[in-house]
Amino acid sequence: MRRITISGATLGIAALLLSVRMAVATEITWPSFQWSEPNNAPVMRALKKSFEQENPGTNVKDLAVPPAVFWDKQMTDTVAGNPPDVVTLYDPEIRQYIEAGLLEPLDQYYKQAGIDKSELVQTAKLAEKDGVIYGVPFQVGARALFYNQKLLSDAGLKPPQNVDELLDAIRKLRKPAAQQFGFMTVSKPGNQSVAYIEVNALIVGFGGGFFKDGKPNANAPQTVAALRFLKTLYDEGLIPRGMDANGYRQLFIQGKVAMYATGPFIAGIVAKENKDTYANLRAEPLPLPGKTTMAVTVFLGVPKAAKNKELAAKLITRMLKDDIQTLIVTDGKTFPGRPGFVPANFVAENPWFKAIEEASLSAKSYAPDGAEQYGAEVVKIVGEHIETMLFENVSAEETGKNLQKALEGFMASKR
Amino acid sequence: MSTIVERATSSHWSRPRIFGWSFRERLVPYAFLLPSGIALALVFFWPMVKAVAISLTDGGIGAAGHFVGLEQYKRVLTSNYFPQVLRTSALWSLGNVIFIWGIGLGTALLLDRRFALRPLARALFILPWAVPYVAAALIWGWMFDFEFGVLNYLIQASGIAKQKLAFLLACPSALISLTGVSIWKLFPLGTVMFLAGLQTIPNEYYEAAQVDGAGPIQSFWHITLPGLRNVSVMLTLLITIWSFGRSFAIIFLLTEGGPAGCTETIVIRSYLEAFKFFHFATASAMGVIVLLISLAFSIGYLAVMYRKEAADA
Repeated sequence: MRRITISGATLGIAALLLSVRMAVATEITWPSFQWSEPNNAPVMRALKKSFEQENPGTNVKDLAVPPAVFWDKQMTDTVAGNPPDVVTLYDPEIRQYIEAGLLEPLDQYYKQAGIDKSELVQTAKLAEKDGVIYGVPFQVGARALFYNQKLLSDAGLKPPQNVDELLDAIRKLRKPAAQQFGFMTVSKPGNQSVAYIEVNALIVGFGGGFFKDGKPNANAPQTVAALRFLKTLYDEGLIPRGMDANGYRQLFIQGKVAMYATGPFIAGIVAKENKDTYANLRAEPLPLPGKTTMAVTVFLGVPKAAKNKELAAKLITRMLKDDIQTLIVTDGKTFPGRPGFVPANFVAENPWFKAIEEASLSAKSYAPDGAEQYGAEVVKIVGEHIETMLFENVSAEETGKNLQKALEGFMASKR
Repeated sequence: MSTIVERATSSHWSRPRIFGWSFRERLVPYAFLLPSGIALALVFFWPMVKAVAISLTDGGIGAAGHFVGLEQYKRVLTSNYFPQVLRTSALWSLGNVIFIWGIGLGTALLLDRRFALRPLARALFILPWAVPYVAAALIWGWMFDFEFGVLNYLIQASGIAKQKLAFLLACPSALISLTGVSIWKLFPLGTVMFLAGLQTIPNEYYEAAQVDGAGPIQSFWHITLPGLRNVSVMLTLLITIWSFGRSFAIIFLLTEGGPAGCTETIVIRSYLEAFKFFHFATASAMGVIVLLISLAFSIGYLAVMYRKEAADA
């Protein structure tokens, strides 16, 4: 009798362990800093909920990782052979991961989801190599000129339509006594990744670029003109000096900065943190001579070494379905990977989104054109030269020349 | 009875010496050390061995890497950035050593005197040491802020300067500012060590010197300083090793090595190579170079320690 009881208990424990093991086996790990972002978290939770309902017994594990440690952690886990099931990657990172052979091809999952690659935004091309796609574009952060309508109208100004009007407005809106600025962009050493994105919006807006077709382009007249514009802003004290992006974004949210060339994420944060500023938030295409803009695209991918590759791939391609694409616009307040899901009433209620929609359809990737896989090194080289220009008073022309030489040297070392 | 005693004490009945009581007793300390030994091997020596192994390959992200001998070391040592990061690391360490030594000694002499609220003053001077690096960096970051920082406000309000100072926005002021934060954070270590050292100098020496007509400066020069010689040497070596090998947290949090690489130390560059550029082999080679430099200082430290022990004995 006692033996039967023990055997029964043993079997019971074994069954319990097995069920626990089975439960763990169907858990999709998705660590991301975006789980804690006020605009993105509701979209991601909606996707999680839909996917778990459609795939009973599956659990999407939402791990909120602080942005400060996220990239290092994700990369270390992936390289160590213990990656999460879903990885989050920006433009240069996805090229790096693809070139290193770390990502799972997703073509068959796109097919299963009924999505054709041609339906995706232009910047999604970065996730392709030799006709194979390795990522899902979650959201497109195209750059436009966000402005505080109230600050402009209080100063008797209309939204600037060209670079001269922009500079004039920035000067008029600078009120030191009120600690008010007309514009903001990076002006602090360090965090060169953010600096590169912020400055590149101006560079591309002027029609320039640090790279063109895989070749350095830092001394092109358009690139130098953009650098000159940036240096003017810094030298004349027209932008908050020595402040990191988190700091000056707070100034914009609190209505202390009138204009900001950035992506739609800022609208999501402003909507959450300051209703008054949000009511006055508008956006226009960048009033810069190049009439072009850039975008930061957030991609999702599945590492080859992931434990639940198939489910993870199904999860991220599920994001491309109509319901989640619409949510990315309405709740996330950003542009999704597939165009055509912007409800008309949403644009009526959020007039700033019109400029974002237009920009998202034509925006170039912010990654160095044709040298995307060297993004991190290019960011470092560019960042150092911009810091030298701003903080050691080197002219824009000289900076363009020196930067071109440095980038050419770097590319030569890669051959 | 005698037979039993004989048997018990005879070599025939005793166990072989190798398994004897004395041998097992000798093993006991090692058994106690074993858990920490295993822990150290796993979290310290194994990563170190692994770093050396990786530094001998050409491995990067997603690639296992092939053996390339000392190629990575050659690449690092002949690179454009290495002389600069080495120079910055050396300047950073030198600044730390000199000022921590000087301020530590000054505050120790001050706190060694008898005055009201001395325990409170001692606690206050130790406080910076207790502040975590991240908190210290955030506080100082706001104080240094160009637009809204309290330091620039005070400088302008007091009329010291009309223009705002670019604490973290220019070179070399960024390196000076960061070294200042590090000194503020670490000088209490110097204070504590010097205070302990001052307690070991017999009061009779000062009394005798006073009788002989020595003034405070002569007493300091001929009694206090020689009395603190061992503490000084140990503190210098410790701070050198720490500031050279740990020149990361404050720099990374406040400037990330900028502006334009002005505050980029060898440790910061090693981090960038690994986690930004995914050059793990290069980063490992830099890590080994830092290890070797720190090891040289450590050998110096140990030599001083042994000499002191021998002298004490």
